[in-house]
Amino acid sequence: MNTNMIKLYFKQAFYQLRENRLISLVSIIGTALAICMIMVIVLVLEVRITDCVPEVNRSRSLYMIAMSIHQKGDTSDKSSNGCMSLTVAKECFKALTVPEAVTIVSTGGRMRISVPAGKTMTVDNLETDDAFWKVFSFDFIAGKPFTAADSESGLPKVVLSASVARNLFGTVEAVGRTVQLNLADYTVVGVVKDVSKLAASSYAQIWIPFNSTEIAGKCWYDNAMGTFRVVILAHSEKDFPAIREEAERLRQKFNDGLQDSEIFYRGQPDDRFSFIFRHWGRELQAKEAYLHYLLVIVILLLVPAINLSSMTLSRMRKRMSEIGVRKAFGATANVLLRQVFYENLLLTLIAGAVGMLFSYACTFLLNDFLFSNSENRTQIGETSLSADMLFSPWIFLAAFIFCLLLNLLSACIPAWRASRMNITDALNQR
Amino acid sequence: MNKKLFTQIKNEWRSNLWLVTELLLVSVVLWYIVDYMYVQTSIYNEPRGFDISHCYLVQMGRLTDKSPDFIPNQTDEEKRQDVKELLSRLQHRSDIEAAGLGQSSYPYNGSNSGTSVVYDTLRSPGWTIRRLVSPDFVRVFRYRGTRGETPEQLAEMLKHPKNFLASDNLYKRRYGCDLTSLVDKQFYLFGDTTNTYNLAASLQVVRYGDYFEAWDSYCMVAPMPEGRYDLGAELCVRVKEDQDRDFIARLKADSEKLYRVGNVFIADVRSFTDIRRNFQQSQTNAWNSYLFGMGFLLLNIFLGLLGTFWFRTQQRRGEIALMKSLGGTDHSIFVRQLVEGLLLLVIATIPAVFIDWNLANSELNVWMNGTTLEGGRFIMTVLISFVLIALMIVVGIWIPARKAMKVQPAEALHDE
Repeated sequence: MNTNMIKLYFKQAFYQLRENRLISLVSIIGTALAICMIMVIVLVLEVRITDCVPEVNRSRSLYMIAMSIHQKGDTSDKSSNGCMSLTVAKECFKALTVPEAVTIVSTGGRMRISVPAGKTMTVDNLETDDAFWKVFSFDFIAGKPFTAADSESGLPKVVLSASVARNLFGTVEAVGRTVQLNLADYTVVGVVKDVSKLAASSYAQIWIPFNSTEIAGKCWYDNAMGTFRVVILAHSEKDFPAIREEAERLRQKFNDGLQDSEIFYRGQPDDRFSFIFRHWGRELQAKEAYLHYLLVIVILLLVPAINLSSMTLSRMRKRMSEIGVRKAFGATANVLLRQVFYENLLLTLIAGAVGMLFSYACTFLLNDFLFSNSENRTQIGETSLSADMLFSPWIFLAAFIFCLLLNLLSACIPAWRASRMNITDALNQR
Repeated sequence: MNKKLFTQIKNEWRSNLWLVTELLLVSVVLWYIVDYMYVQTSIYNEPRGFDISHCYLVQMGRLTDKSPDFIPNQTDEEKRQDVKELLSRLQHRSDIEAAGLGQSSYPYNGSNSGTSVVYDTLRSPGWTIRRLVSPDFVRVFRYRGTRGETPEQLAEMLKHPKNFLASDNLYKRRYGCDLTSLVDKQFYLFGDTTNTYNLAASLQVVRYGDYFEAWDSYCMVAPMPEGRYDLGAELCVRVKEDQDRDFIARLKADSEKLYRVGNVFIADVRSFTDIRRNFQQSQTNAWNSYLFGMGFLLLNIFLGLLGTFWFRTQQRRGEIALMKSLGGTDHSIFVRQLVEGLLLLVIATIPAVFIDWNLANSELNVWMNGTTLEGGRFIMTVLISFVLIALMIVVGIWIPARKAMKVQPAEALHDE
């Protein structure tokens, strides 16, 4: 088929759409809404699952956010649940040999930071170790992270985010300066670009070695429960089973050393997907979560598709006589089918563009609702979305496929029926 | 007229089939959403058993040797004394009504411990939350006894180390008895079968959070042993009713002067409104997502009926004109269109209810009171979703129906 024909089809389609303004509008809004809903769902999932600075290794990371402990051999549901102590983090995870790196991170807290005889502010802090800078990849504007030696001996070194540095010193060139953190003097060793709260595992405004505070002392239940989490960076995804196996061995070894109690993980360490969909450390069925998403998307697609089909059908009925005339003058079923198809393609393309705009507007306007979670809800920083998070080719492709699917679902059946219609029936509007 | 309407619906069965299919699909999905919201709202509105208004969590920190004020070589006893002293100073602060310590105890807490409460052969479920607290903790969160005990009376009871309190429902599900009848009896706690503890009062059920139902929330409250008065404990305060304004800022401002005890200091103060919001964010998000889903479905119904009936009125111009010329009023024509839409909904609702019932019967929807299928709840949720869709149908048909009303018989029939 030559381009002129296509042009002609589109022209015809355009006049058709203009002819029935209300119906075109209804169809466009319906389709645009469906595309918008699906795009937002995909977008939110994408932002949480795929890599973004500084969490650039999400696909090969394993997460341990909570653990449980109970009496040895207890078969009732009785257990204590929460974060782990430094002892468990070190003996059961830091000791792993298969992964590339293992970092121990405190559950975020807040600290007061001040400059001697200067400004004071409250900031979100994380207490961690040197491996943190390997597992996550921060953009250092000045200086560098604290070292293994700093971390080991708990030297008072701190990495600031750019906005904190600017607030305290008026510049990001703060390396070597002294700040007071909860009344103790710390030396600034590095300044990093601000991190979005969306990076829930690595977000903070200041980072310090956990050995430099008393946080390790906050532990209970045979020194197993505490305030730490662990992120494990594997060489590749393929190592996950081996890492889980080794972690299980270490867990048993640790339990052998406990008198009456034993620790257990409820299916953790989690890969990225399970990590996001886990609720309060309950055992998780990732398959269910996948199914759930699939079902939601199918419904979001099906309802407007039925809608459009129903309307296309009505439109076809109204145009029966036109089709009859065209058939009487020799148009083949194929030609008519193509015409209807183009009409709907044009409609869905317009709707797709509108839906895309809607979805980006939604993502920015509803930022708080879409992206806040129990991790970051009350933190101080911003859930800033960078453009590269949103405008990925993958999402464009997905949206386009959705458009096409919708188009095919809604147009083809009525079009096919119309094209098979008997000429006399059509002319008599039967 | 109704018979005629049925005939008409039958005659246009092809396009009606689409509408009915859509209505059926939406009915089922919407019922599922309504059911979810109904359950969440019912649970949310149950009594919580605690009160977080005017409450704050004070996070403690301890100085390290990096600080010039650090006091080295403290014994464990001295460290505990510092925490106790801080608690006591806060209790005496003029704008604070009560201050208490707890371990994995405050509401909306991600960390928890289970324990067993045993009386004779009766044993509480495994997920009975153990709350180890200092006496005034129950005054901070305003726990109440089933026999009308005030928080102050409960606090008095907890001053005795062998006393404990427990939610009234511990044995309800398994054995059908309330704990109120066992007050002042001797129990075994913490899996220890050598010591007995006295149940001093039965508590009005304390829920774990706003979205955890009372039916499934169990807890016991026992005095915190001396050894646990440490940095790991949670320090919670309730301020006097009119003192919320700037409380966090005021306490922080005073913290250096008044509340540095030995090496212990106040690191941060958070309001429980914040803690609650944080804890429940995923439930709030789920709620909002369902709300959006519901809006989307209803909007689609609206658009679908608007579109389809728009065509129908255009198509039936002649017919409507004829009806009018034979004595049909504007009103009767308007109603006829509406009834047609609603009849379609009724037709779709019959199989939809059947599907809903089967979904509930296979336990695919949310749980409440230990079941997914309760008569009252099922009828309510089916009704609510029916009414919601019916409303959308009425709104959707309104516009084309008004247009139908305005058909001028003479003009329309002229075409013929």
